[in-house]
Amino acid sequence: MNGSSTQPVIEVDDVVHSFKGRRALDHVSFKVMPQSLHGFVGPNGAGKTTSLKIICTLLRPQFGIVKVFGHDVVDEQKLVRRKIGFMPDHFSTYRQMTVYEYLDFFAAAYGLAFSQRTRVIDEVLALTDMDGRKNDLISGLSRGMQQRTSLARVLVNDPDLLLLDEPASGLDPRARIELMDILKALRSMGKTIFISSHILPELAELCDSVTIIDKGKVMYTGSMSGLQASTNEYPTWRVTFDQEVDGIVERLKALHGVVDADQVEGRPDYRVSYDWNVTDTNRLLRSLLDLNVPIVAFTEDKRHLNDAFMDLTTKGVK
Amino acid sequence: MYYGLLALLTRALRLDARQLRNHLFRLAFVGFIYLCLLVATFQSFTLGAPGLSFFKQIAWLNALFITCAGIGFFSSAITEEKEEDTIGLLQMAGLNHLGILLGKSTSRLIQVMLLLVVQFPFMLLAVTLGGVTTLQIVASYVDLLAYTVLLANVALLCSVLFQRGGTAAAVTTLLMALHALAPRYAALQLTSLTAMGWTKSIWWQSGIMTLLEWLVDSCIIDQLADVMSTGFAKPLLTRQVVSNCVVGLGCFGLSWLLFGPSVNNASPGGASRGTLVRSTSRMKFLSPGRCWANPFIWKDFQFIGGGYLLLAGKLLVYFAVFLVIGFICLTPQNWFNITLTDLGPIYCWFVGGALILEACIFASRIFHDEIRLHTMSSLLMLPRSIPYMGYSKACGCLMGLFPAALSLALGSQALPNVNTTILAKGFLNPAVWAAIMTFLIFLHLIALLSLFIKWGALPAAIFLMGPVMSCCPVVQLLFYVSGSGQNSLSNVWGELPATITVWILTGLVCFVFQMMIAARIQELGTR
Repeated sequence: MNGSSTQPVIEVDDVVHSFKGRRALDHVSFKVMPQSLHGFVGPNGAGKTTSLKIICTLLRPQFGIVKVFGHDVVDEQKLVRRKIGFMPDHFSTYRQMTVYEYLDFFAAAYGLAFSQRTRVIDEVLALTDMDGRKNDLISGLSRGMQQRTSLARVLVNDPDLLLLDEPASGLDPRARIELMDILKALRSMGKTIFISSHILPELAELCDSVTIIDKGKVMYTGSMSGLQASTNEYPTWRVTFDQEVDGIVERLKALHGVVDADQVEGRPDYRVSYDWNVTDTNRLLRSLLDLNVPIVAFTEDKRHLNDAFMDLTTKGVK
Repeated sequence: MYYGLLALLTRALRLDARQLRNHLFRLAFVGFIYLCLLVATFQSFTLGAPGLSFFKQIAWLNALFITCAGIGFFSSAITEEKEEDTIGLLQMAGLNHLGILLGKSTSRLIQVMLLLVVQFPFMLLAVTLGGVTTLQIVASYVDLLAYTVLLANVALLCSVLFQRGGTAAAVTTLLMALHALAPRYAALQLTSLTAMGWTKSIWWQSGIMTLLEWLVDSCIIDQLADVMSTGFAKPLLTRQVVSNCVVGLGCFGLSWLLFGPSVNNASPGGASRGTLVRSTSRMKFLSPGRCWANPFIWKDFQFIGGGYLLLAGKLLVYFAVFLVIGFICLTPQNWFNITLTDLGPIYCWFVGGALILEACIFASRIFHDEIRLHTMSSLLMLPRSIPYMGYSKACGCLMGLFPAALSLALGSQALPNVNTTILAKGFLNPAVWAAIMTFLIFLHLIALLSLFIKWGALPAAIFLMGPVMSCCPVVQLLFYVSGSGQNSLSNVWGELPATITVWILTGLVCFVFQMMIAARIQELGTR
């Protein structure tokens, strides 16, 4: 986590919340630091949306304290609402409005003056690459475009914290990549982004920190690098040879410091895990070159968020 | 083939059988019959033939319930699938058009029929109280079942033809109102034709007269009144039963025939901009334009009230109606036998009715549209309070009532034979205020119900208004204060204090409703 000395943007402290006798959140605690992109991961029914609703003041926690920018979400609701932008997991748009009317409505609802609204709407339309579609009816937009419109709406009051609930769900790969690019741009603008998502590889690439939740309990919260250590996983690298080689897995396993090696099914790709107390990445690469098999690529294996997720949560999706 | 035909119907019936609330609802209906029976038993000490009185109460209540609740219940059968874009999914699941119609509509018809059937044994108890025969009870239930078939299938046809549930419900209401009024008109025409010497000896005269007779006999209101008359001894299969069933089946057949073309032409998401002009069109001066300082007033005026174009359109329509009524009045010996002196009252009744109807529609949409579009949580996230949003939205809707209100005001003041003295006096008349305030309570009830039920808040409110008026002590007090009896408070206190009391009492009831609405909105926002 970066900036650990500064005040956290979100502080969730020992929160408990139940629905009809079923405990949705069980003593949940975590912090989100300023200007970070924090991933919030968990299987269906883990308590992600409940947590998000409490943070964004829609739901009162039954026990515990939640603070956003130091303001209590129960006692200082209005102050919190002015500083955050929440994008729910479903499309919540006035379909009969045009994109411009929709943004204008929310900008006015946040109390922006007429001239200020014009400038802000132009800015968010440019940021979300929607300026060419501002006079289109929302009902006529594609799902990706509607999601961008929702994101633009969240940005009209220039919030310091964005709370995004499954923003990429239902989007095609192109729309998903474009959305992630927008999120990266927003982070570089100094916004703090709290994102709940199931698309783990993308979160691994984007996020500085992560909270993993299961059955209403926090299983891990902290930096992405710390996640690897917490799950006792060895560093894993992926090596790609120019062709499949017989018996190579055994030869890889026999290398100094290597604890495990396996082949990615049907491809000359091999995952090699090593013990960092015995060797390091440079020494591993040297050992691989010594095998005298032409290497096409050697990259860090980004699998660990998936693995950590599977290790920390109960197997399968409920 | 049979799988596709009956799968949805079987599923709907299984679900109905499994859901406890459906059985509880039927039980509550039976409980209500027991309550009425108890009242009738006590009445038997003082009145003769309490069985007939009990039977009449239940029969009319059933007819009212079927009409009010049925319109929303049946007309949303297919439109709800269109609005959710799930018709395609049903078809992909192997369900054919007939299967979808049977599953979505006929299952609902069976549910309502079950509600009638379950009452039947308890209704027979009326015979023991005296004044009514078993034949009358059986006949009334057969008539009601036939009427349910008609209503369900007319609503189904509207549901197939229109994209939105609201439109389908509105058209169904209009058609059923026409069906209730047409026999009256037919009876009038039949009398005048007979007076003109028409007989059934000439084939085309015979045809027209038979058609008019069928129309007169097809109405449930007349039929029930006939069944309730003393000495009723007609066969069960009356013209009303046959005509209602035949027209109902015809509507079902038409729905089946038109299902394909209607679904193929459906716009995705069912969203439309209605009469609103785009800012890029030539008439952009009529477009919603930029948002006002209070965005909620702007939004609800433009997107619920209909915006500038609909405002102008409604003014033109009301003016056109004035011209048409005026033209009829000026025509000597016109069909309706009205003269220029009738112009004012007829116009005021028409515009007043339109005002009431518009207000009811706005009340049913003011919050329900936010649920339908899943925007409630986005609104609640705004740094505005729920009362601020609610009152602003109400102001936006009120602006949509401007054409009707203006036409009514001008009509009542400028036209001859409208008793302006009564209107002026009405300003301080507690009875007039009680009527207005009861309507205000009714609008609150519609808005509240629209937050709980998916469709049919307006008919449900009409149905529930009776219990609210008879059970709520504050509303009872309202009528007591405003009453014209010797001992009423308006006579004892004077008109002004009584009027102020009416305002305070209404404010109290409306405040309770508003608290309930706010609590419900808060709850919906967290979902």
